[in-house]
Amino acid sequence: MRRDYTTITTDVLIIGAGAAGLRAAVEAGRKGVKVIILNKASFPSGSSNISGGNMQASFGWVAGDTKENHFRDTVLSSKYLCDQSLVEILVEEAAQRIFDLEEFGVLFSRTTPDRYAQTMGGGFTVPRSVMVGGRCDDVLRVLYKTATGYGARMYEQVMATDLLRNQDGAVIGATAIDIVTGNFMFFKARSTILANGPCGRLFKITANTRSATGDGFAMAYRCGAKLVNMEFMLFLPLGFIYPEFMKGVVLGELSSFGENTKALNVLGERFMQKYAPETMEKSTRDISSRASYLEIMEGRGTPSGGIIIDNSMNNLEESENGPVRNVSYYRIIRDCLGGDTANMKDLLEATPTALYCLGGIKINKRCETSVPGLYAAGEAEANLHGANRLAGNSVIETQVFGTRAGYYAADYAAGVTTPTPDPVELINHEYEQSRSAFDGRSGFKPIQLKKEIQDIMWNKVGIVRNGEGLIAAIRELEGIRQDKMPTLYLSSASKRYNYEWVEAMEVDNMITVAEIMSRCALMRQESRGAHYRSDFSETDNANGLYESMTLNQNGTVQLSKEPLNTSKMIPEDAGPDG
Amino acid sequence: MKYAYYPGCAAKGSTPEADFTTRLVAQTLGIELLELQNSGCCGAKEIRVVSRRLDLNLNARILSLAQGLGLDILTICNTCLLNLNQANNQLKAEPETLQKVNKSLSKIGLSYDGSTNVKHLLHVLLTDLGLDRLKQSVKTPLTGLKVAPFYGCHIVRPVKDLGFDVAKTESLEALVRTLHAHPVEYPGRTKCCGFYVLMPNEAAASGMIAHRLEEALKADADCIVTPCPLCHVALDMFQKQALGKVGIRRTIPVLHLPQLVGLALGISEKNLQFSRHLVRVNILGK
Amino acid sequence: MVKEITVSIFRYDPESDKHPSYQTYSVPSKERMLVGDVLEYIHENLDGSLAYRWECRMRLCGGCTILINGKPGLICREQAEPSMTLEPLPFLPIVRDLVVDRKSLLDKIYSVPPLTRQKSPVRLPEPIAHEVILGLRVPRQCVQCLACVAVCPATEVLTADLFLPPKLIQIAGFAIDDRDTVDRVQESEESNLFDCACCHACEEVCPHEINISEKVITALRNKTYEHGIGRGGRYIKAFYDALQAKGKVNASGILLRSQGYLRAIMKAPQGIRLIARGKFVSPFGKPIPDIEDIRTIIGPTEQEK
Repeated sequence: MRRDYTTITTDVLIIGAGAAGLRAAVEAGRKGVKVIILNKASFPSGSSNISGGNMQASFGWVAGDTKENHFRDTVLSSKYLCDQSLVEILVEEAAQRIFDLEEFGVLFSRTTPDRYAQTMGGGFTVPRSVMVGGRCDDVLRVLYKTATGYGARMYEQVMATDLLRNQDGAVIGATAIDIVTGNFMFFKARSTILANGPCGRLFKITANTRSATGDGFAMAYRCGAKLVNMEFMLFLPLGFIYPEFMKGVVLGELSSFGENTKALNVLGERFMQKYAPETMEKSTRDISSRASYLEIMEGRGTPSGGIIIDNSMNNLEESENGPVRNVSYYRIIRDCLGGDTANMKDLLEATPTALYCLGGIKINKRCETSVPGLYAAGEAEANLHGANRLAGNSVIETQVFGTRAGYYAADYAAGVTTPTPDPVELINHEYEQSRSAFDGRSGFKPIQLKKEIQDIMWNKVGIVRNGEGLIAAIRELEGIRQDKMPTLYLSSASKRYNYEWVEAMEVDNMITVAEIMSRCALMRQESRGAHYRSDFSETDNANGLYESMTLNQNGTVQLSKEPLNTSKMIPEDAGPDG
Repeated sequence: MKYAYYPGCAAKGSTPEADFTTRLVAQTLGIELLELQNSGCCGAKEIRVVSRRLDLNLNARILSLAQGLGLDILTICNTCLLNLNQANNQLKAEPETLQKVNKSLSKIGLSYDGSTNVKHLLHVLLTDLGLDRLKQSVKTPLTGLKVAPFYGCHIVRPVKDLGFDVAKTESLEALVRTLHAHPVEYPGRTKCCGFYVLMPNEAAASGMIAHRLEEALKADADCIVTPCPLCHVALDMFQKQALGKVGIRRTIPVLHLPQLVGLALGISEKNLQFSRHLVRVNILGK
Repeated sequence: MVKEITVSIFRYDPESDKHPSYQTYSVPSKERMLVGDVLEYIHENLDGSLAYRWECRMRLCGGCTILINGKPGLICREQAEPSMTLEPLPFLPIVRDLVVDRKSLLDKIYSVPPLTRQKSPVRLPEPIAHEVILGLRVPRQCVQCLACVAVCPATEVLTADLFLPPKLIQIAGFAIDDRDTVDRVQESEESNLFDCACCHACEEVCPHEINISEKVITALRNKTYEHGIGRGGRYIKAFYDALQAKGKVNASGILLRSQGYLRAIMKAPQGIRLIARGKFVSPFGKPIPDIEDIRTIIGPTEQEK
């Protein structure tokens, strides 16, 4: 018996409406295929929306600004763990993608009328990031208008739940829930792009949006796609501590406020002296986040659980968070923390915060995943950044790989000629599964399990890890899945905008991704970039130059170590396979 | 207390009773008003559509005329208040703009140095005179009179241009209480009367006027008081036609701020010139 | 600081409730609480059935706007107060409780054609001064949070079909762009630009503090005036002419000039009543004595962009 659902047919289905998904929609739309975009939230949203919008690209206007340097900076930052063939593409195509955006209508800051202004970042050889005024939301609106101009259609507040495959193992679309009505939907597509990357909500403190629960990774995993480097999670050193609602929202890099920022612990010590005396507050994010985290964990944090930033020697006009360069940001700080803090006259409290997943769904140069008919773009895909990412490399990533994903997914769709009947049994199964939370009577509320997962991840799979903690995390996550998830119940039987119901589905995804991240972290017995183990605190180039691969083997996580694509740069102390 | 009195266009044309009663009330309270002769129009919301510069020129001229008298401006119109303030703020913040504007003024033998302040009659009563002194001058306490305070947009917003938040501090309510009347609570107090839509779209304006009047009627007010003659034009001159369109037969008298104050100070009905209103002012039994 | 926040929240499920109701909750108070904190506390500890929306926490998604004590605000921006009533935005279909369906308004706003050049740029980057970029960014600060719509008197009377502030903001964003070739003056007229009452209510609630009256309404009206005023703006010319003629304005004179003599005659009964009350100032009256001074400072040579 066919359950009550709606089928909507399209050529290309794009799951995720951030900069990557929208750029893919433009490219696919340009090729004349029918495009549907699914947005779990309201528009605009996603990580790109709140990213600030800086994008790296080499234009050659400044001495030293070469594609080779962009390549080199990226590989060095990745600690040699990136897929260099993807980085080659990134640095080659970045500038053209910026020009595309300008042609669509994005407003880039300039020095002279015919040259974009480019700003520096940690790990850059030269200033390289073009800027859009500190806010990326306009870029998304421009991309949306361009995409709809080519016929793309967006469904808002629709959460994709699973990818369905035909007998040949190719992805033929996704099931989804319309969050507003509660109706079940099947989007039948000839090709599908996953562009719903972020998973920051796995952690207690994150900069990410409400929806960032790793749905894309979980769906890809369940569908048999290979995930790579899932142990690498990027943290930013400075997020808001209060108000509670704002906890984790980006305050920025240590260098965001100016040249003379001092990071202090509760004793008033400039603690970076202990961790990175040569670079101090100008260290890369992984080092600064770790230093802050350790200070807090070892009891030298403020009563609210943070570190202290002293900006009094900085220039307000030049601050990236100031009223001249980024008035929206400045107002957030002013409204939440007071005018004196915003004007850098008062001290600022901050906490490290989960920002971005450096790993993801493995793609090749055409954004193809290991499953036919399935593509990935943006934060969802990997492995561009290896162990640590440069600022400004993720927004340009959405443009370069979003374009490719759209292009190749459209090609693939055009090649799929046999009509696909609805896989009714599969859909029925998904339908039942999605509604199972309504059967619960007593036990745990989804928010309780969400918080448990977030605590485990923050404490044991976060900025500082060790074998014992990771094993405990895996065990506890398993316990949540086996013992607690089956007892989930909802406060309301209404299917209309029932966010507890959404959370119940998110919990499932979160545990999947959390388990994968923990296991990969356990496997990597070294410290590299954003992955730090107190029991293996050195980088091991003899044994560590591998991509950790995750595959779904009949419901269990299967891990392996795969060789890296080191086409151009190899570290000196690399092992024979490096 | 001596001020350069800037009545604005409405007070001289559509609402002469506002001008007349302001002078009487000022006299009674010992406030000296020196009218800025031939001060002309502040440009309202229209001149800036032609060019912002014209707006600045017009207002700078008015400000410099007051500067010439060495006095602050007292105005009785909300839009005049806002325009003069906006121009004043811009000229004081942008020396280059002031220079350009002074070039224009020099053609007519004037110059502005940024020293004039602008106040509304409401501000003067509240802070310069003070409500205590006003209370002492009350001869006819308006006990039992239910008054709906209608601020009028341009004395309330934008706060950053006006420098004083009369709505938040409930200034008009406080003044009504000082006169022993009772200010009613109702949702329309800082909403728009629609005056500026009368010219482009009278039907739409009529709708706004009707809403504002209905809100006051629902709150069981005996009358409305407003500090702005433009709001008065909308709410009084156009009341019958607006309420008629929505099928309401009741009416509610609309008083100018100086009229309400004058009533409490013991000024006669004749001198308050209620007869100039289109909606009969029948509150004296209450 | 109070110990507890008392909040009364609008509850309504159109599928199962006959009418809306209000439910009261008590939430422990903390220093620096946002309205979002209050709702999250209720969700976690008191009532998981309450529907509310938020996403980005940085005022960039525009999705979390509700009425807080009658005033529209973002739950990620507004401070919690000791006593609050929370309601959904007006003018929109209610999905459930505090969540509304913004689609109908967003469709109208996004129907404004984007930047449309005559032809593709000859070279990139396009030569544009940085100051121009900064100016072009101003109307684009709008995140379509719809707070302005909630307080606009013109929307209230005309409905969002005829007057929609965020749509005018979109149009302004492209109208001030020299590269654009769409007839934005026509668009503004069709969007009833001159029905704006200039009441400033919109900018007081705008979370991005956009100076809507100057950078959107006046800017668009400037453009309209340059191109030859249509139906909506005829009275502007009448006003300007009256000032140059008399130095002051009065409603009757403008009425005659802008609406035409026939319509003015139809208003004759009103006119007679006004005459009787000394309120009808003849449009044929004398100018103010200093009229030459006025003409000097507002003449055509004084106009500048």
